[in-house]
Amino acid sequence: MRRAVFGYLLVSVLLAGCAYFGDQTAPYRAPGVVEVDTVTDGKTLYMRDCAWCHGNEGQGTENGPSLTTGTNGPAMTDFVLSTGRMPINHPDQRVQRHASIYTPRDIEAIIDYMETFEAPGPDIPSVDPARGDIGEGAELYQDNCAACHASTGIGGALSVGGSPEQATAVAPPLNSSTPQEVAEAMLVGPGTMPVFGPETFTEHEVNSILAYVEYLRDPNNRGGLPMGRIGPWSEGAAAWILGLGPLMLLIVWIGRKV
Amino acid sequence: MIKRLTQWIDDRLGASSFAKQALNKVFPDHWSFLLGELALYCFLILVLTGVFLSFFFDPSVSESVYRGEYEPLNGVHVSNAYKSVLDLSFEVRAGLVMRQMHHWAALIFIAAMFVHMLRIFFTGAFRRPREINWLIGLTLLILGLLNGFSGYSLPDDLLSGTGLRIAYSVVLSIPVIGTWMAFLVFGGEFPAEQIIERLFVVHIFIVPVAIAGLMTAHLAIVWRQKHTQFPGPGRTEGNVVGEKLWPTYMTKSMALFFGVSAVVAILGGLVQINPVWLYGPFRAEQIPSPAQPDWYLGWLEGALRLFPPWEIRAFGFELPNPFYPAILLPGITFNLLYLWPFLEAKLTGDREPHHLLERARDHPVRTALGIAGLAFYLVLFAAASNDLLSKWLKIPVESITNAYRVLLLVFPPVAGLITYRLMDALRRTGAEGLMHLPLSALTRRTQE
Repeated sequence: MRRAVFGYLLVSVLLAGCAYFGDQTAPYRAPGVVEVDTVTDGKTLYMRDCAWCHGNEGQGTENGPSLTTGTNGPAMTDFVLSTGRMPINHPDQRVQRHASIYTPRDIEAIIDYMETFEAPGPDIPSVDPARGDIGEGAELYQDNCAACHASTGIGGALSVGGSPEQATAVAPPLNSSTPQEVAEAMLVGPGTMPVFGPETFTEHEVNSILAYVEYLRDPNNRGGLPMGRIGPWSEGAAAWILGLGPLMLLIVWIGRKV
Repeated sequence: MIKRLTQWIDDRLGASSFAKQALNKVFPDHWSFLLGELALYCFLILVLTGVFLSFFFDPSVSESVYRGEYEPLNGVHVSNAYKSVLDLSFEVRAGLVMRQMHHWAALIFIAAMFVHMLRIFFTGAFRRPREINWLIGLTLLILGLLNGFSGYSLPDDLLSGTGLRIAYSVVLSIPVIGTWMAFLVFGGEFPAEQIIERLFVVHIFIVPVAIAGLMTAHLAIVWRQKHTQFPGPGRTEGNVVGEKLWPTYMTKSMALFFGVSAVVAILGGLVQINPVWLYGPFRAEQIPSPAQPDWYLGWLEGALRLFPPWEIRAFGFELPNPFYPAILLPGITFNLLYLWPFLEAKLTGDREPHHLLERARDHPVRTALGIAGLAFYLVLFAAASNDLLSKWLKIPVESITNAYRVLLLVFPPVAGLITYRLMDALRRTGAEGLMHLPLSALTRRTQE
């Protein structure tokens, strides 16, 4: 656990460093220029951060998969870059959520450049959770998402059935995801996640799910301390430590000879 | 006035001589003798809060559309059982704190009974003439597990429905009669319509009455046989050294009741337990994750998770997989526990009555076996949350399961052996406790 925490801190520090220097090396933009050639900017960033593994034209290399096939496209790119899942420093590094090293404008530029790859994946969706129906969202979430991401959205372990490239897969918690990111993930099915595209949900249903996911970030905590919303695991620990523990101390105290 | 009233009652019932005798009864002093009482007061709180809950709970699975205080489920079809739990949690005055106190008290109740049983086991208090009370106590623990599970299942939420689905599959796995048993108990194919109503009767009537009756017998037998005591100056097999029921033990007991009430009320008021509104109503096609049972069934859940996927076919019948971890294992566990006092008497040849307790070191073999058994169930218990560990450590859940399988076979004998050596060293050196044990005592094995 301590090693995991240490590793996490180390990666965070490294990434913070990347973010810092990333900003430093952003190309100089003359003040007052409105029309920016995002394609050129994007190319610079792509060549610097992505091409090493994914190839100059997104064709993929032995270090990383092709970006021109499957569900790759603007939504996928926006998802992996805005959640900080990419770039990774080494092909074997775990792909997981981090603070993004790019500004939204950088991401836009990279996506614009990558349009030239003509990847078949979906476009960035436009979402509006406020137009969804949270009750419908709750039902759809329980039906389709809760089995992996947990009823409370805290995420969970995945059974991988011996597949080595997925051996470290987890369904991540949703409590730091924006509705935009959740919608993108549903469209492209990153990692082991299935695609929940327009054939599965209507726009309204997507908005409903997003509304419920957003609700789960800060749900009704009536009753007191939620203890991580893990369920009976933390409840059992509390029953022993906070319940029986003090009562044992009490009986040691009152059980003394008077 | 009070004097005349008591005189009036005494003239008719002749209670004063009994009361006098009872109040003067002497109980020995040791903190661990209060563990059972702790469980008793948890039960009392369970009855009190449970009566309150039963005024508002509706054990029906017929569905209606939820229109209530909890916004995110507005317009969702839910069972009346689930709806009444939502109402209890959001609309009934003090409903949620009662619900949470009830649940916390249940978790502590079983924990207290379990620790009480460990005390009885490791001090040899189950030996003749107290075998009957061991049997009753063990039955109380099993009834506690049963009532915990039935109560946990009543809200008809997704998490508890998943527990019921496991229970249904476990009943199905009983060879030959499984299918009939499952239909008999559940009233049909899962998710059967009647199970919530049946569990309600079991939970609020049959089991609590059985618990109350057996608890009375349990206490009456302690009263009749007198409480055991640890050996010490002036304490013999023939006496009880301690304090009188009145005023000392009455006061201690009252204090304990208030203490239990306080802890349960604080937890119930400040710490959330079983937020069923987040789990959602039960739907047969849904499954939540992570899904753990309440702690006291963790060992069974862990056994189900660890047991390899074996299935045997013989004589045209199949022995389904859940049978081994979920029927055979608890069957062996509870039978061994029921038989333990008699097995031990047979193995040691000690059939004498005992009123003085043993210390753990006085009987190293029993202590070592007990610790080995505890280690076994502890590994099973830990394995019930293999998915959470996998999530936290980012290690594949299959690797964790395999590690637990190895641990299940290795840890108990190692723990038992270490315990045996320690207890044996304690007995030989007469050291006060483990911390006072000289290192040399651990390296030498032979008896001096």
